[in-house]
Amino acid sequence: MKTNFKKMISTLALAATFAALPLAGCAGGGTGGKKELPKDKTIIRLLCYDAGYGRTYVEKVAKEFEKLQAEHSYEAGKKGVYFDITQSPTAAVGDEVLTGLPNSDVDMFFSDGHTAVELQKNGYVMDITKLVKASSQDENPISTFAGETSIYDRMYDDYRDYVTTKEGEVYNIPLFLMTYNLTYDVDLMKENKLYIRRDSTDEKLNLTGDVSQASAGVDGEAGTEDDGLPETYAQFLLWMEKMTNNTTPMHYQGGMLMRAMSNFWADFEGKEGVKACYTFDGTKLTDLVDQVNNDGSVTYLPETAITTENGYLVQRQEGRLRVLQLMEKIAASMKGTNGYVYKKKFPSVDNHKQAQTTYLVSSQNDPKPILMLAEGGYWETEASATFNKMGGNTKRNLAILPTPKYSRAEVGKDSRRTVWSELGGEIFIRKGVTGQVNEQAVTDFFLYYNSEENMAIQNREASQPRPFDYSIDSIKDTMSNYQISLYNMLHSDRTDVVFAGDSNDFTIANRDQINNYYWLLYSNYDANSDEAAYTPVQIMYERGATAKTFFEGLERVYTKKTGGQSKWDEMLGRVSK
Amino acid sequence: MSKKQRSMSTDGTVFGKELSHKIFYWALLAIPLIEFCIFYIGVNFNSILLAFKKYTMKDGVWEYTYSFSNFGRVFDYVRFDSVMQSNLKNAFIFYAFGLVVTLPLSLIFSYYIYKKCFASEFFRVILFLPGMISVVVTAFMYKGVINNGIPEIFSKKGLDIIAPLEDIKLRMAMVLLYNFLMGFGTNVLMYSNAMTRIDVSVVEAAQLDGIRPMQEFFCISLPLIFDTISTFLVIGIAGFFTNQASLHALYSRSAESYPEVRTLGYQLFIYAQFGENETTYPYAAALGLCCTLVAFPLTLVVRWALDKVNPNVQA
Repeated sequence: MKTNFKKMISTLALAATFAALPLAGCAGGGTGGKKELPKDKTIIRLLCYDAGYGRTYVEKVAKEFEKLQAEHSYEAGKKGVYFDITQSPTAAVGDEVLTGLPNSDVDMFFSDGHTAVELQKNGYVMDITKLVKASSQDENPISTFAGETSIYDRMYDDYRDYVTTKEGEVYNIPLFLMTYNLTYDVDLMKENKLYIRRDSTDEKLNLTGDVSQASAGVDGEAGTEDDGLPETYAQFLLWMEKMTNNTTPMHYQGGMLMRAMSNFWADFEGKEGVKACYTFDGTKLTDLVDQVNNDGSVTYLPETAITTENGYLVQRQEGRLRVLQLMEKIAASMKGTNGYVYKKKFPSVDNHKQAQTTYLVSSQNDPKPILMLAEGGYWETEASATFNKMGGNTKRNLAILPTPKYSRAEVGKDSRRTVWSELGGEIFIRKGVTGQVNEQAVTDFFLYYNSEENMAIQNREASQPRPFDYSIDSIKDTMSNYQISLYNMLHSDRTDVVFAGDSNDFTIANRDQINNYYWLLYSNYDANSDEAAYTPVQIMYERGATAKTFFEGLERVYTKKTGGQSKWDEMLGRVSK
Repeated sequence: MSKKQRSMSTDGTVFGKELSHKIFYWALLAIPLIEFCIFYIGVNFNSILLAFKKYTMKDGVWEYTYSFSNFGRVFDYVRFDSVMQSNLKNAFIFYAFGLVVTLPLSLIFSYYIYKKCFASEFFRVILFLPGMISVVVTAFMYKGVINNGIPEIFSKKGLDIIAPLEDIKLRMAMVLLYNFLMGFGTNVLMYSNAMTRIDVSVVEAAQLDGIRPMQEFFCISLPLIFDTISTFLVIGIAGFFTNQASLHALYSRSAESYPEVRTLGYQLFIYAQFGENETTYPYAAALGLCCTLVAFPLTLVVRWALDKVNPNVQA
């Protein structure tokens, strides 16, 4: 009897353990674990995607809001607010977060990957049109935290168009805008005398360590941030060649160089040329290359209106050929002793975080320290651990390399810079936040978080610029040189920031193709096979592709037929007629 | 006493006990069964349905219809697409390597451990370690040694070499080496454990008859563990299409551009992990289903063939 009882108990315990294992994955609507929350404060729940840029920026602003509202009562019997912030690398993005909304108790989401229509149709996302259009100048302001200029009016045009539905409603706003750039080391420029002197030409460079002797840079104005930096593609190549005696020009991981140098393409094409690649709205392009001659010269197609039927033709834009010709030179340099890319880790030894560390420590360890790193905009935050070991990011003098111009004629005081950018995350609010009075708390926090001052804080804490007008003057002295340089690039009057996307059905349905990997420089580089790659320098180095063959393969990816159907046919087939 | 008579026993004991046993039994199984129904049957049924779905977008919203178009794409790619063909070729290379190199070496080394030769216990522990450590960690260590350590050694001798995992000529060899190192230990443990179940008296009798070690290996050990070997060979067939050869651990997504090593299993993994919208998964589901339709009869054929050659000896 006793033995049977013991057997039963132990079997029950075993059964309970087996039952607990599958049930362990079942958690409440996205808040993770249950923690002790204060009962005398209004609770606001946030869920953060928490990618490489972390969530410190959200936490800091939330803490400030808690202090500000410490004496304010949103609910009877309660004073102040308390933020319950959870993070998730999976449950805060994509379909997972949307399907979890009906059961979620989270109020505000710092998420990624949703279109305005998806959120509209979901039914559980708040229409925030009134919020984003709220201003302190309104007759009856909805919140004391509304700024003088509304969030909507401060938003960059492209992004505003993207987040606004056909009915004029807004369900989410951009969290930040993502760019990819060449970062350079300003101190190394001085130490290794890498400034281009003003007596240099496109054929001959003289270098100096004294910025007062430097050339005026792409903007044609002396005394600005781009002094002494390459003005043209020709100077860019000469500059890298010349510096290899004592400096390694650049380092990167995988597809980062392609993405960073796609700014060369964007700058070549200008805002209209870049937008045409995503809107397919009939914009006419005149620089579509017909033939590439062996000497690199080209003939052009007649002026062509780009629609969804012939959208693959944008792969023939001359800007893509010109940047590939630069990359061909970079690849060729790697066959010699003084390659332009850090040879020890070429072509793709490091992952992107290791590449950041390699770059940062090279100034201490390497006889030929690395001048430039090709990376995404928020890399400085991702590399916080390395920066902290080196005394903090404000101790390093890094900046964004201005994009040189293809030809000398484009350099000067009238020059404009085009930067392509992607949507980096979004913020939205769940409909029916807990209790009537809590909605005011969430509204207030939403407006507070997206105020000009706090956008500047996000810029500092996460190295994330936002696609809105805002000033960093109040906190500039606490920002790193890199963050200031990134802000200046994107907020300059002479910069056109283009959103690489559109809300038309074709672009949305083909997001997996029309994204940064595959829509920029992704080529079927060998006409005799179906292989394709988006790492031009590596392909040119390893497999003998040239700028010409790589360029010719850009369109072929979409037009080559497999079994009677091309990739472009498949892409068209994703849209209901 | 009949079953009915037993259940109608006046004291109620037998009836009550049988029922309570059944209740307990089903209560124990209920949750695992429900879990199996949802997470295995439900998920796989859904995947099969997904293979027949064709998604299109209308006014920002996805809608779907059912068709065979995904299967059409799979057949087109298998017939005409050189990327698919090289994926299949590489899958075969990895499988053949496992069969021709890893398996024989594992068997021989298992025999070494089974015979308790020099440092066999030490090797047993060391070989088990990769199985306990996450593949991300082992890949990281491997890359550190191969990509950083080896070039550093060469550079000290004044030679600049490309990191072997990134050298187009050495890539396949390095990936095969990694797979060999990771798979070797598990195989050795399995086969050496199987060998320990061989009756000692059989071996002693053979030794009395003057059998030499290699004769013992081929004539006694191998036949007696053939069931274990054939089990793994059959499982290996099923894994032919899904083996990603640890490419994601070694290269992340870069291997998508490496035709010399990329396998079908890796490609499927990329579709499943990084599929960006509703149109990626149906194709991947159709591809997976086609692979199953090939692997299933192949597995049965291999099993039948192995049963035919199985010496069927017991000890």
